[in-house]
Amino acid sequence: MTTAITLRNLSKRFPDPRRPEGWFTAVDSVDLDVEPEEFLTMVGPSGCGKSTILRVISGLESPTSGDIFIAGERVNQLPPKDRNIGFMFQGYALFKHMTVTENIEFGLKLRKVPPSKRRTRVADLISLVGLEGLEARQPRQLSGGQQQRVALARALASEPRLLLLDEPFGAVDAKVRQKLRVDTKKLQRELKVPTILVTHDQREALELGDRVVVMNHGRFEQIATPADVYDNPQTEFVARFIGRTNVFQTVLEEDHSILPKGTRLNVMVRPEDVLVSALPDPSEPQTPTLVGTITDYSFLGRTVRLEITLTNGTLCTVALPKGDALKKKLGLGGLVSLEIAACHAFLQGDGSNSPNGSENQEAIRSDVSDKVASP
Amino acid sequence: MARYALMTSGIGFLILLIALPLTAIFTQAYQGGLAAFWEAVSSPEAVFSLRYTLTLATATTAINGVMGTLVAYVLARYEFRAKSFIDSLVDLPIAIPASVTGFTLLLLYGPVGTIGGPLSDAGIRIMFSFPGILVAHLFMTFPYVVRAVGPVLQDSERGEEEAAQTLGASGFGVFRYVTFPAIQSALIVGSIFTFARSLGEFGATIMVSGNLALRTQTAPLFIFSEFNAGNIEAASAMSVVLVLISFVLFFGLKFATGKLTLGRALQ
Repeated sequence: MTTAITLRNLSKRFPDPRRPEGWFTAVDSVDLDVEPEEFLTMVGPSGCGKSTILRVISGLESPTSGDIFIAGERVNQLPPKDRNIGFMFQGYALFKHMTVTENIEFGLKLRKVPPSKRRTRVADLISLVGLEGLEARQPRQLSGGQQQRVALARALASEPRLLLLDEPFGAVDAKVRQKLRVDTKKLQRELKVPTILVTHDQREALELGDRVVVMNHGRFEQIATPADVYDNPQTEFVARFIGRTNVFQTVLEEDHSILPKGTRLNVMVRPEDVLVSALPDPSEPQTPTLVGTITDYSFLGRTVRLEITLTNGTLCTVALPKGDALKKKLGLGGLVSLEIAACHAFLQGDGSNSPNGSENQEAIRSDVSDKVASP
Repeated sequence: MARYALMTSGIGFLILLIALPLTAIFTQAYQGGLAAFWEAVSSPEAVFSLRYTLTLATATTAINGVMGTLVAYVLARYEFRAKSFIDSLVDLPIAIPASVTGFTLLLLYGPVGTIGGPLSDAGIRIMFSFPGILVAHLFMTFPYVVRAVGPVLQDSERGEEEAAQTLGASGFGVFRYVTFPAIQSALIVGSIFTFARSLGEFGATIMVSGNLALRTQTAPLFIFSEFNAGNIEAASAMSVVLVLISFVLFFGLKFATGKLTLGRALQ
C-alpha cells in the first residue's frame, strides 16, 4: 500500500537579510511517511517550522529542495487548487461575508458539484460536525468552537485525500478545547482520512497522535508513538519538551564500558519516576544516597506534586498518586529519601542533541542514578 | 458646558466655511426665477460641458477603479525594492499644483512634446482633446482608490485567500470570491471620491484642454468662461448643478455604506 504522503529530504528557506547567511531555514532536510488512515501530530516550539511543513504540503509555499508525494504522485509542481488537500488554518480563515452553508459548499461549487449533490453533502457535513440550525449564520455570529467546526466541515467537504490541521484548537477556551479534541479524533477515525495536526501543545500531540513528530529548529528530533516519545526520548530536546522532567548535571566518576571517566552528562528524570518514602528518624544511619526535605506541596486532584530540596541544595520535582502521598504521610517540611526508577542521560554540551543510543541508556542509568545528588 | 462650546464652534465653523458660500450660489442662481435658471443650464454649451464632464468622470472612475485596485494590491501583497518610493509616488498628485500637472502633461504630450511630437506627426493628437484631458484627470484622481482600498487589503487576512486556494480556487477565483467582496465597500468610497474630484477638476484641465466651447470645455471651465464673460447667471446656474451632483453623490455614499466612515476609508 502506498503511503498517504511522503516527504523526501524536504527543505524550505526564506530570505532573511538580517542573518549573515542571508536566509532563514524553516525546514531542514526532513523525511516523513504518513500511512493511510494515520493521525500524525507534529509538535515543537513556535518557529520550529511545523506550520511551514503544512504550507509546503498544501502548495501554499514551494519547497526550496526535496520532494513531496501524495499517494505516490509527486506534487511539487501542482498548484494548491489541484492537490485536493483539506487545510484548516490557524484562526480558521472562514469567509467572513459568507454564511455557514456558503463556507462549507465553497469548494464543492468550485469543483462544479451539481447543486442537488451539494445540498446533500453540506447537510451531511453539518450534522457530522453538529452545526444544525446555524446554517444561515455568518462566522462573526458564531462562538469559537462553532467556527472551528465550520472550518473543519469546509476542509472536509470535497473529500480531501489528506487533512492538515494547523493549531486547530488554539482559539477556543480550555473546556471547549477538550471536547473538540475528542470529537476531532473520533471524526478522523470514522472518516479514515490521513491527517497531520500541528500544535505547540505537547499534551494535545500525545493525546491525538497515532504517531508524534517532535520538531526543533526545522528538524525532526523524533518520530514515534506517543508512549515512545514520552518514555524513550531520543534526544535531550525531546526529553525536556515532552512532559515534565528534572534535569540533573553529573560527571562520570569512573570509566564506563562506553563512556570514559569525566564525561559530563545531563540526566533527565520524570517526576513520576522518582520514588519517595518518608524517613522516620533523621538521626538513623542512612543507606539511600538521596535525601531531601519537602519544600513545596501541591495538590493537583488525582496526583500530588512535591518540590524536594536535596541535601546539596538541588531541587527535584516528584509526582505521585494522592493516595500514596497520604499513606506515606508525606507533608511539607518532611524528610524523605528518593530513589530513581528510570532516567535518560544525554551528553552535555552536545548542541546537536544527537541521541546517545538507546542501548547505552540502560547502562548509563545504573551507573549514574546514585550520583545524581553529587554536586 | 464644554460640550456645547465645542459643538457650537465646530458646527459654526463648518456653516461659515462651507454652507454659507453655497447658499450664496443658490440665491444667485435663483434670482431670475426657475425659467431663467433652466435657460442658463439648457444652452447647447452648458449641456455639452455637463455631458463632457460626466463622461470624463465616468471614464476616469472606471480606469482608476481598476488600476488603483491593482496598485493597492501590489503594494499590500508584495515586497520589493523601492516599494516605499512607489508608495509615496501615489500621493504626489495631491501635493503637486494642478497647473503644474497640466504643464508637465503639455510638455510631454503636447504638439512639440517628447511623446506628443512624433504622435502629432503621425496625425494623432492627444492634447486639447478627450484623451489628453482624460490623462490629466487620471493623474489628478489617482490616489483616491489606492488609498481607500489599500488599508482594507492590508488588514484583510491572507488566510482567507489561501483557504480559497486550498479549496480549489484559481487566482481569479480567489479575487472574485474572496478579495473583491472584502474591498467592495472601500472601492465604492474611493470611486465616489474619484468621480467627485474629476467632476470638479479645473487647474490641470484648463492647461491641457484649450477650453474650446462645444469641443473640450468641461463644466468647471464653462463656469470660468461664463464668469469671465460677465454672464453671472449661467456661471452660478452651472455651479448649482455641480454642487447638487456632488451633494447627491456623498449623501448617497453615506446612505449606501452605512457604518463605513469616509475618514477611516481614506486614511
